[in-house]
Amino acid sequence: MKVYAKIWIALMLIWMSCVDKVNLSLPTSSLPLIIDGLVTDQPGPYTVKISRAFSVDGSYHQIAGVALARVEISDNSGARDVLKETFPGTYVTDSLQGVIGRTYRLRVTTAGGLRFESAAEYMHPAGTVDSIYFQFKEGANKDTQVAEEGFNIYINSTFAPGSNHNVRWKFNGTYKVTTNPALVLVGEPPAPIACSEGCLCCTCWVSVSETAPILANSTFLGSNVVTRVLVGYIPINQLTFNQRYRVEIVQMEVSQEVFDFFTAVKGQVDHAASLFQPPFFKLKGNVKAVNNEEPVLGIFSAAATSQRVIYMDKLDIPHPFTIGEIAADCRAVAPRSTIFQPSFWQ
Amino acid sequence: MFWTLSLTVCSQSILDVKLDGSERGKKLVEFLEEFEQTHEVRFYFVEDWLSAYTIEGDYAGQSLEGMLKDLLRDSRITYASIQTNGIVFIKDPTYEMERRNALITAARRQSKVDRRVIGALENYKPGIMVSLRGRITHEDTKAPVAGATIQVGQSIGGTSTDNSGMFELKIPTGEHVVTIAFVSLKERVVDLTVYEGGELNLAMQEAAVLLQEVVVNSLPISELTNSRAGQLQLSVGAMKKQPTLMGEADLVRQLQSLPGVSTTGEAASGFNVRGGSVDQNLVLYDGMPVFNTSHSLGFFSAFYSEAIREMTFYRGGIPAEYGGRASSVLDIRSQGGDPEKWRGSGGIGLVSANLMVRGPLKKDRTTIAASVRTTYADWYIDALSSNYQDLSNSEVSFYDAELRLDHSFNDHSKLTFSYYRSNDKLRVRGDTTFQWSNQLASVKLDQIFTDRLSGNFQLGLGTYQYGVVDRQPDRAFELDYNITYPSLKADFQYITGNQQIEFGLQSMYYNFEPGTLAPTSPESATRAVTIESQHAIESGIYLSDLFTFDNRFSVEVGLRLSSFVTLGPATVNVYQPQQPVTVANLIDSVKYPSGEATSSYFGLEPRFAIRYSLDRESSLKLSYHRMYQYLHLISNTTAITPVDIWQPSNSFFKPQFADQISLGYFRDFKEKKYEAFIEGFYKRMSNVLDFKDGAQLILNKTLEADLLQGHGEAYGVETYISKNIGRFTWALSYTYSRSLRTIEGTTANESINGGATYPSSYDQPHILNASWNYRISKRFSFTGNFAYRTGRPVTVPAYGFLLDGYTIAYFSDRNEFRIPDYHRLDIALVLEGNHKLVKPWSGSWIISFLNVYGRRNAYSYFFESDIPGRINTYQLSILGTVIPSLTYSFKF
Repeated sequence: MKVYAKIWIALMLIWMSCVDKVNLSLPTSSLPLIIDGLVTDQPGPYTVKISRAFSVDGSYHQIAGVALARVEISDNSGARDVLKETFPGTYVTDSLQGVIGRTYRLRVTTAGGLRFESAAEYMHPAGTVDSIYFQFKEGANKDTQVAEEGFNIYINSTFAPGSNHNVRWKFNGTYKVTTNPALVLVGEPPAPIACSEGCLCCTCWVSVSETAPILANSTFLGSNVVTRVLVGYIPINQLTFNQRYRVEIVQMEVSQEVFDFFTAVKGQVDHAASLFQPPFFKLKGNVKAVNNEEPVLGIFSAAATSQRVIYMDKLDIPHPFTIGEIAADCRAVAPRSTIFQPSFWQ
Repeated sequence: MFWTLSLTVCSQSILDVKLDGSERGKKLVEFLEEFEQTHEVRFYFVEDWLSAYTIEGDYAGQSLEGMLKDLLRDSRITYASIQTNGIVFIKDPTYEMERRNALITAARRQSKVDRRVIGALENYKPGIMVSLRGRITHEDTKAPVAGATIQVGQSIGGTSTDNSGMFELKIPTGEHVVTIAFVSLKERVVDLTVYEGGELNLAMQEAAVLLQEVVVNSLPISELTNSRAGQLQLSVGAMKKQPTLMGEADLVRQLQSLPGVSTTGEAASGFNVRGGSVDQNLVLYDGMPVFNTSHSLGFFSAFYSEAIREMTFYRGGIPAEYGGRASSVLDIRSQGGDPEKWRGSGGIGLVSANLMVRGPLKKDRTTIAASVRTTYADWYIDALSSNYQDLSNSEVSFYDAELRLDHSFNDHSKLTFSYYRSNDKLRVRGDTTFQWSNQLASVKLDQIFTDRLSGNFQLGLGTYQYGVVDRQPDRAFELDYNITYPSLKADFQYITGNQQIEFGLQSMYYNFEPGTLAPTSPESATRAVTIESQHAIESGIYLSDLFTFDNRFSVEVGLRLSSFVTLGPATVNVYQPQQPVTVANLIDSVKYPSGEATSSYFGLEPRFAIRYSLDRESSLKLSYHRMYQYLHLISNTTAITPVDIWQPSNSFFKPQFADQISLGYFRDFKEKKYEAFIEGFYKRMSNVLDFKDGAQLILNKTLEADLLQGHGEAYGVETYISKNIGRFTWALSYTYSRSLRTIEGTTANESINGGATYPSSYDQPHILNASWNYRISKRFSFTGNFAYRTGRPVTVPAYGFLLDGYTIAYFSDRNEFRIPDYHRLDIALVLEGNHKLVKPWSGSWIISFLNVYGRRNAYSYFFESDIPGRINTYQLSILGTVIPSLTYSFKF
């Protein structure tokens, strides 16, 4: 009921309500260990990240990886892969590749000897993303309420045979931005050129993910085909449709525990700013401490994946759209972008 | 004492003289004179005191003392022996002094004192107990006044009227001062002489525009010592004078300042009573249950104050007549028409206007009262100079309308038609429109069969409905929810001697249409969902008896038998036996044909309320009730929302029930100038519903898999003191109470906080309320109130973490922390018109300032992650600043 947030913004203004930032100064106990891992049926390597939680005090926390742990993924056929640490807290598999129908388990032993273990995760087939399509939309930006155009992105999908599907989709958006940092207006002194070595930083690729988990449960669908599932929204602006926009939708079927976890995460994102927020609750992961009482929260999934990709460009916009010149370093105008072309980019 | 005893011993022989039976049939005075002739004795007495006594019994063989004792029993006349052969008759002056003082006090309070004589002097038998019965009605509307207190003298005794306004009590013949009081009406005082049993019928006058109200009746509750245990009679007139939000007198909001009543904040609909949830309050409008009691998501009450004649609130020892909710009853009775002349009233505030007219359609026979209140908040929104957040495309509107027709066939039967409708519409930024409405219609026949037996028969129809409409093409949908509830009631009151017996039966049919979601545009991504309708019948029969012993001790004992049957057509899910009720364990469903019972429950609900007057100024009240509740409000939000679901009990959801016991000491001082009480309670609630972590409630076809049942307990001590008389009247209350829940299932997923006891969302241990009314001059008064309460429990993020690209908060145990304490001061200046009794037009102004010192009381916390690795917490305050308002009200 995200609409409640809107209602209350309106009522707040009408009845002179207000919102203040507060620091709750909660008693800090030991921050739990966070474990995040995924095995798919696609070629690896797969990554397991181990980190610490951070306190909710309104300040930025650099996420510290937990280094020097022994991380192992095994399946019920006896296959086993001990992961290598490539960066503090980031561990990757060596040769393991997931197989549909097998059960996988993650085991972590920290440098201090604390052992953690995931539930056994069965790898279900993923079904297929049958098509991705989009629809032009005029409206207002959900945060600023400034008039905006964009595209709603929809998919049609088929679940794997059988019933009781817990499906999760990932929206991986990538768009390319080309700028001209050296460009200056006539009569103005030239600005210092930020990057001049072949103007590498004039081209960037920006990655975008879904803001909240996209999930579907098939219990009451009556069929294994779903159509017109809204999976994302792309605003139209000088950056997003500067060149091309790549939309990749990844479909995976996850266990009930993992599904419940991401449903809860979705609830957090959707309801956080709502007056009628449901009382929040503790998330439950599927990783448990084995020989200790240390708090841990972890999600380890084993899921076959199916993906589909489309590319969009400004010709998809139902009216003429002119791209102006951007006289700036693309990394400055597009935060969290990279100047290295992703391998999947066509 | 020693002197009296010694005299008695000396004259023992005279009093021991045996009578021969010849005295039978003689006047006492005559007998005494004859006795003086034949015995060595001298009687001293005032002839008027004894002249009414006749020796009717057979005292042959009994002593003179035995005869005198018997004859003068229950009188205030005693006798004492003086010297060896003298007997003097003495009349206890205490009662005469009390009576005299009561008349002086009444005069001082400007109460009208009537002189009434009941019976004929020739039938007067002094000192015997006779029955005084009668009926109390409103002078304007002729409607019965239920719950009015009748106090005879200060120590003789008292009672209260039943639903037909009737009462009966035993009093000794003689002279008495009878005081009849009811919070929103002018007190009546009767200087009464009772020669024999008879009737005392009185009409009470509205106190609305009279000076006396400002002086005497300026507090929301009064008459505490003599009222029924657990009952608070609310003064509608006094509540209207309290500070208002946007000029809207809000009776439900005023209720929240009473001891034992609390709220979770400014934007919360409804109220919490003694640790119970909001849905545990039975709110009745002319006998019909109201499902949504507020406008604009809780900002305003759904009841227009002018259309209300009286409000009675029960928070303990609830009479057997009421059932269906576990915690409290708020019984609202609408204002009827004036049988003699047309009257009107209205008001203009910042966001709404209201008007009421009432008068005779046929003089003294048929009356009408019609009122409407509507908002024009939209101009406020339209007037916003900026179109920030596209707000001018929003709509916030509500109205309520009330209509009542009364027709008196004769003095003994009256037919009343009552209609109520409230409607709300809320649209934000042009996309989504919320609309909800409550409609109640009833026809009631009040019939007095004999002077002891009366009855009320009511046929009613209620609907509660909400809808959400979204016009955004890519998700356009309509969501509809409906409850329809026709009902039938028959209530009887029988008065005999010192007993008031009430009995009756009630039945209500519910048709729940929990939700239909339908896409309304071809490109809408919304999927059509329909949740099956549910049908149920709730019934109750009851019997209660109010005994009054010795005029000091009253006991009300009641028993209610309730039942709830859910009916087909229905599809009932079947889950793996012995396994938790989860979607994963859903194995089948069973279809029931139309009319077949799918589940049935019965509840036996004992009730009792005892009042014991320790002396003329103080009483002890003990009450107990068990209440069954078959409907559950399913909400996983802190505040009630218009789209919450009412779920009937079925094979998965057992009815909840509450047992509550309370004991209080009530006292008034200085002729009720001050009133005070202290009352403790303990309540245990069984089968209370709570939701599983992450529950999705709307349009959920397996709702049972998302809800849990457990138990709750609440306990506390409420204290209250008020000054009721004088220029400066005030009330101060403090309550310490706790409200706890325990949900312990067989698995962790079926437990909350691991099965440990946790505070409910409305557990506010310390609550302090103060209100006052200072009469600056005859027309100006300064009113205000102050509220303090402990911050309510909330669940907050304990820490954050990054996982799969999301910044996620990890929350504390449910309700582990609290928002900061709440406190707020509101003041108002009331300017009333002149206090002439007869005038064509009377206007009054109320200037209010809410939240005078602009405290930003936290309503809730929410959090937001702006960049990965940072979570900010925000506090939402509903009233962020001082809010002034101006209202003009008028009567004609």
